[in-house]
Amino acid sequence: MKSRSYVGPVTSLAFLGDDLFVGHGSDLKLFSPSSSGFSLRWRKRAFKRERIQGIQFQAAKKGTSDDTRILLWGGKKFQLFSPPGPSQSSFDLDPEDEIPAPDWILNSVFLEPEDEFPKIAIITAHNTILTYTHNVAAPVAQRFKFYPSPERCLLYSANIINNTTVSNTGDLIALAGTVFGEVLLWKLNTLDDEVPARVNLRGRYLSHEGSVFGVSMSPDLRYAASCSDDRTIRLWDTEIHTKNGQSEECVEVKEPLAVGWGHQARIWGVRFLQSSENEIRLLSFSEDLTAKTWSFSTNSTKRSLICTQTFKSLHSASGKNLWSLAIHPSERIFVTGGADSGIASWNLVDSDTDTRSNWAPYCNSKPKIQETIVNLDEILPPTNLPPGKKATKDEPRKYVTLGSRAFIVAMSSGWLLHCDLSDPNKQTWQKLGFWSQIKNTSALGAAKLQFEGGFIYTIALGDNDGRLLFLRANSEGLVTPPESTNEWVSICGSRPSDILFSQCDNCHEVTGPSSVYAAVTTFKPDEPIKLLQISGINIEKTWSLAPPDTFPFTAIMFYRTGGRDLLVAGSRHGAFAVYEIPEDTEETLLPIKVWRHIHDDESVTALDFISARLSKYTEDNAIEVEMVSTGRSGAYKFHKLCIGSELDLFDLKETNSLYPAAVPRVEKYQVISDKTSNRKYEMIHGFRGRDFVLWNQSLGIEAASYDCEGGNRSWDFSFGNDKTATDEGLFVFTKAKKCHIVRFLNILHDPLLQAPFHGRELKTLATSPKSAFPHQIIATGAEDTIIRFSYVHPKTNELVNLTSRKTHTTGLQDLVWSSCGGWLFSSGSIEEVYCWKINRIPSDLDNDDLNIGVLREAIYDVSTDNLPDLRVCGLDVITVHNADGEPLGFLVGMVRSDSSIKLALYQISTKKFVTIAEGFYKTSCLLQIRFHLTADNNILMFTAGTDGFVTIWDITNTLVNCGIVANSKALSAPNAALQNLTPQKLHQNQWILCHGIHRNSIKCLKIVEIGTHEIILLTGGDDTAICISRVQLAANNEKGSSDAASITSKSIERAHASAVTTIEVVSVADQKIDFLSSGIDQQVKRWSLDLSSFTEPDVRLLEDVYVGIPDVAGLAFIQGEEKGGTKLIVGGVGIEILDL
Amino acid sequence: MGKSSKDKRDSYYRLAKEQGYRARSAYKLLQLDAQFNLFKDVTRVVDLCAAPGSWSQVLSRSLVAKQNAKDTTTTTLISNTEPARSSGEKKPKVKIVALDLQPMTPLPGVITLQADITHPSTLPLVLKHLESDCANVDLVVSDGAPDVTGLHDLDEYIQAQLLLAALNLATCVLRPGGNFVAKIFRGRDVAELYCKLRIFFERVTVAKPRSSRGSSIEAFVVCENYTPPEGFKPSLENPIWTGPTRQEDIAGQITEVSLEDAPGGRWVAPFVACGDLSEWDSDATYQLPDTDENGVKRASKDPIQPPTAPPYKTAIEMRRRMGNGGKIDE
Repeated sequence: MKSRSYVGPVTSLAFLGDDLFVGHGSDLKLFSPSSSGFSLRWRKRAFKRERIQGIQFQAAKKGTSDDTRILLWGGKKFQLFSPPGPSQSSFDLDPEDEIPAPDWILNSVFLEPEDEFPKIAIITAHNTILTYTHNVAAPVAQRFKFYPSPERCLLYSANIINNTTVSNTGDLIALAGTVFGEVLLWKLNTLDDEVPARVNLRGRYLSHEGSVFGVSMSPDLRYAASCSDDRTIRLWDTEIHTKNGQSEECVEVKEPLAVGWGHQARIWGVRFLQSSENEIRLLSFSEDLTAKTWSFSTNSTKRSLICTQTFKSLHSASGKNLWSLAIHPSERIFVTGGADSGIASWNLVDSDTDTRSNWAPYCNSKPKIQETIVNLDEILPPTNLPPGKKATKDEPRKYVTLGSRAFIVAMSSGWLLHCDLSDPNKQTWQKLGFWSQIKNTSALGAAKLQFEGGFIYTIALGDNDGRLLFLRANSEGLVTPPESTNEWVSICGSRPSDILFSQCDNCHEVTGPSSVYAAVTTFKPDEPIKLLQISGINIEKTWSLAPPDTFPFTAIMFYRTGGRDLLVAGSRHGAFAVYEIPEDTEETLLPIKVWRHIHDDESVTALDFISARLSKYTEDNAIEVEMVSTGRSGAYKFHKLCIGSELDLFDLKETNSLYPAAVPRVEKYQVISDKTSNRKYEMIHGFRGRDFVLWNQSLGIEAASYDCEGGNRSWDFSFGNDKTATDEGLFVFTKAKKCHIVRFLNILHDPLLQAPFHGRELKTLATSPKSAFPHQIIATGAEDTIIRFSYVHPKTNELVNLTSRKTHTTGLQDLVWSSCGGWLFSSGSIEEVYCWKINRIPSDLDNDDLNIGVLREAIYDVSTDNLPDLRVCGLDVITVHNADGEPLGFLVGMVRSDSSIKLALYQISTKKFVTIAEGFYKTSCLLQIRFHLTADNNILMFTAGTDGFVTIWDITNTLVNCGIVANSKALSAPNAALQNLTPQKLHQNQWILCHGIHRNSIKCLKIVEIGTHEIILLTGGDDTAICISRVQLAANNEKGSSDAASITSKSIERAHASAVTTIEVVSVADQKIDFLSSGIDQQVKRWSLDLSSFTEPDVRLLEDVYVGIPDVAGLAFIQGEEKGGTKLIVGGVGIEILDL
Repeated sequence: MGKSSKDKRDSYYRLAKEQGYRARSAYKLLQLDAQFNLFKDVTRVVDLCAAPGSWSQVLSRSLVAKQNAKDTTTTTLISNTEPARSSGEKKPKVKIVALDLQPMTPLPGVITLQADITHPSTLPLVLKHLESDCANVDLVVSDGAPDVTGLHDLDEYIQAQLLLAALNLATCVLRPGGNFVAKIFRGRDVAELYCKLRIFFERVTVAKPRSSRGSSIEAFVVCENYTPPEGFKPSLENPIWTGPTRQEDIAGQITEVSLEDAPGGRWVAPFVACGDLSEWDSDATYQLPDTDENGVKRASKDPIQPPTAPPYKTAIEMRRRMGNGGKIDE
């Protein structure tokens, strides 16, 4: 087994010039900047077992042939090596060369070598300094020099630095943070040959109220900073203690210079930023997933550090912990590494002037927001007031954005204005016209059309009498002749409430470039909606649509294919309606179908095609449309709409649904291409509380947000629409009767050097069946309550994220795929059991060999509300077929922490769980459940739990009572209508075996059938044993049920050093079972079990490898294309992928 | 989570409150004793990392109370002062010394000392309170655990250091044949620790009481029959396996970890689950009856002792003072 890739906590980061070195598990990675961002240059394993906890450099001396040297450490191991130059490919870093240190290393520093060998100093967790001379010819023990400790206490943090304030003294300054909340400062001279008999503490800084997790010394040695469990940063004056010639006495300091409050959880590290004469600046990072900058004015009488900036939310929102941070030498950016495997970059300063760094172009591409508030009174002349009337306050009423650099606004006075923003330094306003009949309006809509290489907009304006005016405009102003501004057309009988355009930049491929469709709605609910086909500024055709009951239109989508025209409408109450639009008719059209509650009872905010090219017109004159809708329900949803050749044949199938927590009020979903990086992003915009939010769903990050005091106001938004401006957006809105213009720039910026994964440890993982998708999908459930879907890239072996769902409210317990791969069942605490539908969906994104839609189809009903922590620890799922062999549903077994068992039938047609049986085992917690169908068509259920017992239940009759029978190793319900669905009781008299095989919890259970009446159980326990049990089932007796079984067990005692948490079977053949086990000791063991001897099965350990994943929770396989290509996935705190 | 719902989730939490223990961990020691008969003939015990004191409570109830039942000697509350003169000289008087860095509420029959177990000055202090000038302690127990950071390797290392510090003190005070019980994290490198303990004790077993959650990495090593290697000189001045030490410094104390059945310094201790299956399962959720056996409506009791002041106590107070929904910024 060979490790191929790793996802897990980023434990160290360090800049060497512009290059970023990353300690990711045992791997060292190098990222280099380029104009478009950064790229991973290489990755190399550094340690056999340890994670890289620290990185130090010794820069190459100019004018010498010396190489740059790198020092890595982790646990009690370290490595010294030189990185390859740009032209070199060779590498002298090999995990076999790791050097053992006599104690846990907390910090380390390069020393001036006295001879040709590199020399370092190490400070260990026992407040002790050692020096090491890298003379590989000498035995390891002789390369170290030991120094006495001033106080041998246990540390959580330490920092040692060369005292360069005085040249060549060989003085080291050590700053140490103890587990008891003390900060210690001491000095050591390592140049003297003589080892001093005693070393004294110089300073003892007291006042932290918890362990000190981070300490740092200012470069001039005048200050020290510390951070702690007590959620504070403390700044200390150390000048007198670091200076030479001062008293050797230890000074006890009980008052820090300043204290900083503000982190919401433990603080892991603090660093000094460049300080000025009167200001000391610090940067800290914490368990609360934020980094903060702090400032202390040395003139101030207040002893407080002021938090000047908080950086948050680039890492998994539900995760925990930033573990590492590095500041670029320019101090313009810094990077953070999270427990979620993510690496994010942040701008420390916004100035664009410094271009010396290779990171500069990247820094300058960070998102920016430009805001302007315009008082339109100053633009509009007061002369337009009718004589004798008192001036009323004019205000902007309706907006349409024309791309990201222009917009049109209708004023309450009757003015229509155009604003051009193409000059970044000013706005150019134009008056398009004044119509008294649009006063206090009005309806305004726009559609975008591609025109002679650019874009042109059709604008529709409605007046108070039901008339419409059509104009064409671009970002510079009107393109229609001025006289057209008076050609009002009467459309409806009353004042229009809205003019809804179909999103035509997707449909012009089929409808031609010049015409657009718009629906005009009025305030009268029963009045027909007018559908218009508009060409240029002329109405080509008009239809009348009868709205369904309680169906105010909020969005439309027009679709033409194969000579058939369809209109899909969305309503204020979350419903969809479909109309077939004939060529010409005078009649009022009725919808052919209405679907209610698509977006609960909330407004449908937008309707669009996912992609026109993905929609089909099939040979039998049927239509398939892939569409996306957004709603105030907080969701965006994908549907497949199928309309048959006959009008009564239609189907609307939801294929994907997502409720992005960052945008609870979703207004629109769009796929936007970034022209510079050639990547496509799923962008969502909408509102969260007071903020307008631009959310990048592909990256899982907020692209930008702006506090507009909520979404209940006039506003419009659009992305840029020409080649130079896709990366920007324009948001205009009215607040306090003023027009606010907000431009978002660089909104497609990707600040992630490495994508985030789960923020906390995995509890369960399951791979989809082999042929269900082009790649096997790995579903992972973690303590962060998220289910993630990923696959292993066949070439790079890297984990590729597909999508994720944060729907559970508790940490995940178990995940099980249906045998067809179409469904996934998940369980958590508080009785949560969900059924998910997993669909392969078409997509406009570029990585589209695999895109999936994920829907939560059903929730298992909670039975009781007075057991708040009832965990559903284990699940099993088996398909139930109908008489034709088609899947009808699933038998779902659940075992729970109160010792209860629930059996439910999930019916595909009704999308509902129905409990068919329930009962209790004893009172101890159950952890495992497995169904087994015997050769005799009996249905067995295996359960196991914390008491170390395995119980076999015969549930054949229970299922027969519901109309479900086993037949040739499959369940079927021959009569489609299932009977007797009131829950039956599971009784102890259904036990055919109850046998103790482990001394404590059974953490995993696998069933292997090896003969007609013979089963092998493989179990792993908290007792560190693996148990191999041979179960003999009695042949069918007259009662039609196997009522007896015998078991013989053989234990592999101490199979692992700690709990065995997972077992997976690799292969079964000829009385031989090849299986893997793993557990908390982080070893993966491969065993060969030979069953040819009946009494004494022979087990041999074939392989035993270490994995860098603490808390191993599960193993899974990805089948390779060719033989031997199988990959092993190990999940726990992160994921490791190995060749099997 | 309210205390009532915690009662259902955690039966030992509820039991501890009902039976007057300061923490649910009391049951871990009780179940360990039931399995290993740890308290048999024990008169001198040292409890390390003792706060808030639930293990000392168990020791006090099991040893002092038992003895009091036999002779009528009253126990005085002793706390970090002169040890009380024992009145009955015939029977060996039970001595329980509890150490912690945190202050601890006094317990009957228990001498509580606020001291660092790694500090050389602690040893004479303990011996003084034991009224002894030699190592004659029957049992040393330690339930100490560090601040868990979430970095597994670091957490395991710190826990191992705590255990080794306890071992060093134990080697200084235990009589030959004495026993040592300590909390251990069964993680990646646990086999190395087992191996070290095996050098000093005839039997080393890893035990998981039913009251310790199955999902937790914690277990307890029960080390029986203290038999130090020949020539071993225990010392807190020069402790073994804690911190960087030159071979020559500990020469004469202990040389190498060498056990026949421990290839590469790794040996896995046998596992025992303790506590009867009929006892409460700490992983199970229980449906509690609404009324007790007398038909009285069950009320959720308050914890005996509120949790010791967390290090972030001041931070919470600060936030409260500053208002803004408990958050300082944003």
